[in-house]
Amino acid sequence: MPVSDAFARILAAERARFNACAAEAARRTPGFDTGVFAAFLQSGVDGVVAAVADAVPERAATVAEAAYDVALSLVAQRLVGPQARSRLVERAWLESFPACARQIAEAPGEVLGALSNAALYMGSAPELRGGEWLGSLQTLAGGAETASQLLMLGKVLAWRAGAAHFRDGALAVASALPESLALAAVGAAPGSSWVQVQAHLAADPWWSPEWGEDGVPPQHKAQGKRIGDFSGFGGIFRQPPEIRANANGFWVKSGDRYSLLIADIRGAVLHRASREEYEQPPFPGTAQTLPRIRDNRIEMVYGDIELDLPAEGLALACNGHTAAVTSPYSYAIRVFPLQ
Amino acid sequence: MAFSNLFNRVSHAPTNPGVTIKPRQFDVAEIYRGPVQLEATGEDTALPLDEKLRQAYFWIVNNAIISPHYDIEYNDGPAQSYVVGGSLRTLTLPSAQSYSSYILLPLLAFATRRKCLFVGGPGRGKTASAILMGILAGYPAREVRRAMQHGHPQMTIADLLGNPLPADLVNAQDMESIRIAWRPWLSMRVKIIDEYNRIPTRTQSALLTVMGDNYAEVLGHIHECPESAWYLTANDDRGGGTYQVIEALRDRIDVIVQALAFNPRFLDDLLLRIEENVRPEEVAPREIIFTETEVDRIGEEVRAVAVPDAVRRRLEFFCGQFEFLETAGVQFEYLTKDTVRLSGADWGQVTAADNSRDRLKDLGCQTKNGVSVRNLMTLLVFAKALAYFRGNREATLEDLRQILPFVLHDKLQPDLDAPFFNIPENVGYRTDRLSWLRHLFDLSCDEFNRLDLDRNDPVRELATEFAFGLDGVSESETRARLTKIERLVGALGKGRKLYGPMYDDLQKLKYLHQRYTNYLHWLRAR
Repeated sequence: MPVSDAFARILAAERARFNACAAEAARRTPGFDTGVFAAFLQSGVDGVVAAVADAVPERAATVAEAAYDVALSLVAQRLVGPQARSRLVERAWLESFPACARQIAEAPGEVLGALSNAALYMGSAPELRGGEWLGSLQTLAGGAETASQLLMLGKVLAWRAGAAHFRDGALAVASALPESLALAAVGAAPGSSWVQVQAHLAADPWWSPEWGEDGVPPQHKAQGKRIGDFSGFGGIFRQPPEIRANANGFWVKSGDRYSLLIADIRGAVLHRASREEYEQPPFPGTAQTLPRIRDNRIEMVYGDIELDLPAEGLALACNGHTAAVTSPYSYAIRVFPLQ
Repeated sequence: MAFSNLFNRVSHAPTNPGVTIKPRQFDVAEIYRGPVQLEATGEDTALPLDEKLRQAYFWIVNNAIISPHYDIEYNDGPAQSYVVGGSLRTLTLPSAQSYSSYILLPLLAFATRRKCLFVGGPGRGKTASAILMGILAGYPAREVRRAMQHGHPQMTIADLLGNPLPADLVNAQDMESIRIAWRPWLSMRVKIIDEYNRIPTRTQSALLTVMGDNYAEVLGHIHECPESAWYLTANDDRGGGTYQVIEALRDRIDVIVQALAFNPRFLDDLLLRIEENVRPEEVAPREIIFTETEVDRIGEEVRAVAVPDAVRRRLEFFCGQFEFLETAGVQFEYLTKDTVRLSGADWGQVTAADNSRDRLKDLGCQTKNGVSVRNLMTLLVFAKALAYFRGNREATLEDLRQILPFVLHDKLQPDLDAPFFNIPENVGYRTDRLSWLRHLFDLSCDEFNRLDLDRNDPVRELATEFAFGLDGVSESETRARLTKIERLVGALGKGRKLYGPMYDDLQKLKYLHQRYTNYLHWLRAR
């Protein structure tokens, strides 16, 4: 597959230097696959260089050099190509990075490296919706005026795509973006007030701007989120989990594995934790009205939720905004908004 | 252009997670950190030095030295173990992070600037491992190789330390005017002596001065050397070298690690290195290079690691087992193995006369000597260093148990004629000294527990009472304490056989008695 004229010219002009770098990489990295590298140059790197050559022609050579460097690193570590754990990095280069040509031209090494790392991160856990993150980035990148804004946007979109644990940081970062971009990044309607949206988001992890002031409908709340599942079927728990609430989420114990569960309306994520963390003194709880379990139903303030589980052994834990339910007959944890 | 590769990549994940509980904080900038190195992140990436040390360990284990021998075993809960072979040996699958001594011990010697001896057959990577330690100190591979001293039978003191300048030798009117061209390795912070047992005895003495006192002397000129980590190699530590190693030199070595045999199951890794023409020492990542200041700081942090009282007491009890030999002399203070050694008496004859105790039960009967002060200090330093490496600020009994065989390997000499070694199931301990030392420590701890010394140790109570000081202690109180000591001495000696720890207890009681007696005299004379 031929590369674009712009990239071909740059490669030809610095042919000896590019070849030397590739040869050095192959020499120093056991198993460096030159075939994968060539293919990635023709697909991912060429797309970026061509887009930059269209948008900011005078920066094309610099971008090509930086992209070549990052590509060497990705191939050397088998992060792209057939042996890669996730296809998201290649998709990012093919689909999203060309849309970020202007910002990449500004700081090519930093932006390409950071966004490649972010793609790896978003592809590292099943709870994170990497494809959604790429799509949003592609759609909204045009609104970022600088490379710095693009990277801030990427952070906010990561939270929106399921990284619930980044909620506080993402909201803080969003406040530094232009108002229209911040509103778009969190899914709020254009023309809304960022101050109000931000305050609402900060106050209630289960509120979403798309539902407006009326809030999330009860039937949507009752759907909750399900996380964990049996490791034999692609989940992560080998035994039915037990949970203990903490201020921001839940400590989870499944056999000898301990996790921290953090959930909000955008997603639910499990992080590694330790036995010591799980065994910390119990969280006193801040919710004024705690739900109750009756048979296999949870009585919430917004209505009853019927669980698809036997009533026997159901356990409920609550923190200030979320209720989590476990059962000895299930490997999954169900989380629901408290209010 | 710069790129990362598999050989110089260092783990970004914490190498020993979950030791301390900290409030969880998630930084959204985390999504941009990863295997692709950014040119300028502007973030402070300084790691705690214990983490950096662990990263260095894991880089060496994963990329540089193929050593799949996890012989320093830690467990977090029950471990799976299996009995294998006709001799019913145990294979344990540890349930916590365990380590390869061949990598870990040299690294701890580097961190604490101590002296490490690699022993093992030719071609097992002893020299390569030593070179890696030089790389960790920031020296280029070529410089480390050039600075390495290769022992050989014709090696002179001048070869080792340096030459007087020829012009000065001809023209100088006095010794002061002769300048010495000191060998560059003397100024390095990592010193490597390859095949040290091939160095002639006289040159070994010069080496001893550098190792022991940190200076070199030629024609009356002194060159002060910096504090360094030392790595020595020997193909055969049991006299297979060209020259017998002088005892004082052997005694200066702090830890001994054995290069174990290569496991052919890892042949693929070797082939890859050949095909890719990779030399790990040339691609060490800069993240694991330690500056002089960092090693200084590690030294301070290691020294700050606490050794709890319970651990100390077990070490005291263990060391107390060995020096005592009842038939060695007459006066109480000279009933030691050292007395026999200094007298030149026949060891077999002296031990044959020792028939007042159960020689199988008495751990002291398994050795020909005791533990020296230098060995004890080394033990404590390495136990602290191991705890520090594992991310702890307090050494555990297991840290001490794991490190002890490597420190005492060449120091505590087994008496292979002792009844213990003649029992069929103990035959393996005659050759496997590391396992014997660990077993010895386990037996000592079992005995400590059997005697319930954690809770019932009257000598310790008296020592604690004394440690509060004598200020304000009245004459009657002093007399009461003296009586208590005398009663305890009487009780300890009454109708019981004398063992090493009891001998130490009696000496301690005599010491306390003497201090109180002197104090009493002073009180009366006032």
